[in-house]
Amino acid sequence: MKNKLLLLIKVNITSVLSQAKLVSAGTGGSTKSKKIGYSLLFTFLVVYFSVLVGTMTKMLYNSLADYDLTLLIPGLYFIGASFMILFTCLFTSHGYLFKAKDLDMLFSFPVSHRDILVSKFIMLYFYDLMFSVIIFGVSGAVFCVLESVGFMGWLTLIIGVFLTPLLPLTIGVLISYFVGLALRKVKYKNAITTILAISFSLLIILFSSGSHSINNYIIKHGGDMLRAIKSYYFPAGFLFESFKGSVLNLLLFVVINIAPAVILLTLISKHFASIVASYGSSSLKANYKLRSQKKSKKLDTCFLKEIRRILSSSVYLLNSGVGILMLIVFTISSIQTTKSAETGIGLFGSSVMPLVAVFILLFCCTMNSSTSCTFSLEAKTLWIYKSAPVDERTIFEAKALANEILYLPFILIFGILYSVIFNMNYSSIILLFLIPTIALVCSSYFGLLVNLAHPKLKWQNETQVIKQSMSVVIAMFASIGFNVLMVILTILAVNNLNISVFEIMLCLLVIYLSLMVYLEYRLRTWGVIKFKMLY
Amino acid sequence: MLTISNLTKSYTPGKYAVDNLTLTIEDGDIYGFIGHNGAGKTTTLKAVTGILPYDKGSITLNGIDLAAEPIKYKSHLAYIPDNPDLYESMSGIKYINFIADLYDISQNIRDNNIRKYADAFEMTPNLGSPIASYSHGMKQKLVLISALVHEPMLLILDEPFVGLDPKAAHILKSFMKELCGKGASIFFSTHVLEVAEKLCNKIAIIKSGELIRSGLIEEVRGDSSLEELFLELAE
Repeated sequence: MKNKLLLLIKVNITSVLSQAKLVSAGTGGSTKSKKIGYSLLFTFLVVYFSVLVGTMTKMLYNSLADYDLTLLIPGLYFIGASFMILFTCLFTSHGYLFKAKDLDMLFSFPVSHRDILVSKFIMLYFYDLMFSVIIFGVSGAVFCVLESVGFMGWLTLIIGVFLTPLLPLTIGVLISYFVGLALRKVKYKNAITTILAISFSLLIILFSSGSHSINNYIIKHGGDMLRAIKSYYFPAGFLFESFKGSVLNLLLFVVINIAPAVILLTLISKHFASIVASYGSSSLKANYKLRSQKKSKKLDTCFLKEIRRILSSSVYLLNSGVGILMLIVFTISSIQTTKSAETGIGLFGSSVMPLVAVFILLFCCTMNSSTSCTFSLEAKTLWIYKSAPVDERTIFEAKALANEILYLPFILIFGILYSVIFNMNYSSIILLFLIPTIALVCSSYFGLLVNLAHPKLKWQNETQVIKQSMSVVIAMFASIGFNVLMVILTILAVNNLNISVFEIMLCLLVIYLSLMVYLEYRLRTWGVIKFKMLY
Repeated sequence: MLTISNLTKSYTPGKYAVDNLTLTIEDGDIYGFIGHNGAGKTTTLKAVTGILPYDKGSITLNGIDLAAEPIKYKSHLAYIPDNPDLYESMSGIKYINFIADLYDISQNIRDNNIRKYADAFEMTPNLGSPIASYSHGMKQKLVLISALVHEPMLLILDEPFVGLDPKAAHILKSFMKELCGKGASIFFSTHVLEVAEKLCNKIAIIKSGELIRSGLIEEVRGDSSLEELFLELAE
C-alpha cells in the first residue's frame, strides 16, 4: 500500500498543475502557444531576478572584500530570504493550511490529520523554496565562486538552499496558528487580521528601508552585524561556521531548521480539525429586524459589492494596496534624498522634482491592481453577475472604480505633500494629480483585460489567485515595465532634447491618456466578448 | 413564453453536451426537466439564463432574444443554481438588496417582497448575519428569496429541492404554483421524479444532450409511472 502522505502530496501537485491546464483549455485559444508563453514568462522572471541578485552580490562582495567581511554575504542573503519567506508565509499559510476548500473532504478520508497538515505544509515549502533558490541560492553561488570555497562551502550552500524556508515557514505557521486561535470567538476577526497584516507589512517595509545607503552601512558596521547576526539569528551563525568548513555547525544548522518544523507539525496536527473549524466559523446572529431597503443604481451597488470584496480579505487588501505602503516608504526616502545634496535626484537638479514626484506616484499607484484577479476571485459566484440584467461594462466600471478608490485619496494626500516639499507651481501641481490618476485608470483597465485573458476560476484557496496567478504576475510586471520605459524616455528627453519639465509632463499626460482610451476600447469590445465566454 | 430553438452546445469539438434542443415553455407552465447525470440539464439551464454561451440556436423570452437583448431578457427571469455559491462576506439582507438593485426593483415592491418571502422561509432573523455563517439550506433559501423578490416572468431552478428541509420545500412548491397562477412560468431540473410528477404540468426528458420526450406529463408518461418511463428511456 502506498504511503498516504506521498499520495496527498502527489494529489496536491497534480491539482495545481491540472488547474493550469484547465484554465488554458477552458478559455479557448491556442493551448500550446499559452503553454509556451507561460514557460517563457516564468523563465524570464527567474533569469531576471537571478541576474539582479547575482549582480548585487558581486557589487557587495567587491565592497566587502577590502574589509575582509565577505562572509557576511551568505548570512545577509540567508536572512533576507528568511524574512521574505516569513513575510509571505504570514499572509498565505492560513489560506493553505486552515482555509483550503478541500479540507472538509480530506478530513472525511481515512487519513491522519497529521498527514493532511504535512502535505499542505510541504506544498507551502515548495512555493517558498523559490525565494530560497533565487535569493540565497544565487547569491550563495556567486559567493562560492568568488571566494573559491571548497567542498564544504558548496555542500553548505546546497543544504542551506533546501533548509532556508523551513524555519521562517514554521514561525509563520505558528503565528498564523495563534492568531487563528486567539480570534476564534472574536466577531471582527477579519478586520483585526487585516489591520495586523497591514501594520506588520508597514513595519517590515519601513524597517528594511530604514537605511537608504545600505551598502555604506554594511561596510561601516560589518563587524557588529556579523556578531549581531550570530547572536540574534543563530541559524545564520551556524551557516557562517559551516561555510568555513565546520561539519558540526552544518549538522547543528540542519537540526535547528528541521526540528522546530517537526515539533510544530506534530503539535498542531492534534488541534488541526478544531482550528480549521474555527477559521471556517462565522457568527450567526438571529436578531435582525427588517427595515426599509435603500434603492441604488446598478453601478453603485456593484461598486459597493466590489469594495466589500476587497475589504473582506486581508490578503486581497494587502496585495491590492501594497502600492500605498510603498508610497509611504518612497515618500520618506525622497524627503531624505532631497535633504541630501550629494545623492540621487540632486544629480539632475531641482527642476526635475515634479517629474520625480509624478514617477513615485505612478510606480506606487499602478504597481498592483485589485482588478488583475477580480474575475478569478468571482469563480463560482460568477453566475450571479452573468444571470443578472447588468451590462458587462457596468461590472467592469465597478471593479475598476473599486481599485481606483483605494488609491485616489493617497494620490491627493501625497500629491499635496510633494507639491509643498518640491515647491511646485500650479500647472505642475495639476499635472501631478492628473497623470497618476489617469495611469491608475489604465492600471485598473489593464488588470481587467489581463485577468479576462488569464482567468483562474478553479482554486483551492484565494491566496493562490491573489498572489500566484498568472494574471497578477503579468499585470504587475507589465505595469512596472511600462513605467520604467517612461522613466528611460524621460531621462533621454531631459538630457538630449531642448524641452522643459512641464512639456515632458504634458507628453506623459498625452501618453497615459491615449493608453487609457485604447484600453477602454479593448475592454468594451474584446473584454465584453471574453467575459461572456467565462464560465 | 420561453422558446428554445435548435440549441446546441459543445465543450469539446465533436461532442455535444446539448444537441439541437427545441422546447417551448408557455406562460403558466411548470416544466420539469429530467435526465440522468451528465445528460445536459444544467448546460441547458445555464444557456437559457445567459450564463453559458451556446454554439447554435436561439432563445427568446416573450419575443426578446437572449443574444440580441441580453439585459432586457435577463430582467424577466430569475435563476437558482444547484449549489448556492454566494458572496460570503455580504450579509443576507445586503445580498437581497444587491440583487434587487440589479433588477431595478422599486423600494416599495422590494420591501414588501423581502418581508413576504423572508418571513415565509423563516429567514428574517438571520438576514443581518454574513452569508459565510449560513448553512447550505439557508443559502438556498436566500437565493430563493432574492429570486422571488423581483417577481420574475420565468423562474429557472436547478435541483431546487436539494438542501431544503421539508417545510421549506413545501413553501417553495406553493410559491411556484402562486407564481404560475399569475402567468409566470417555471423551468426546473430534478432527479426527484415524484416531485416532478406531482408538481409539473409538462415534462421534458433529455438523454446525452438530446431531447427524447417532451409535453404534457400525462401524454409523456402514458400508462406507466414517470419512474418506469425514465428507467426505460435511460436504458
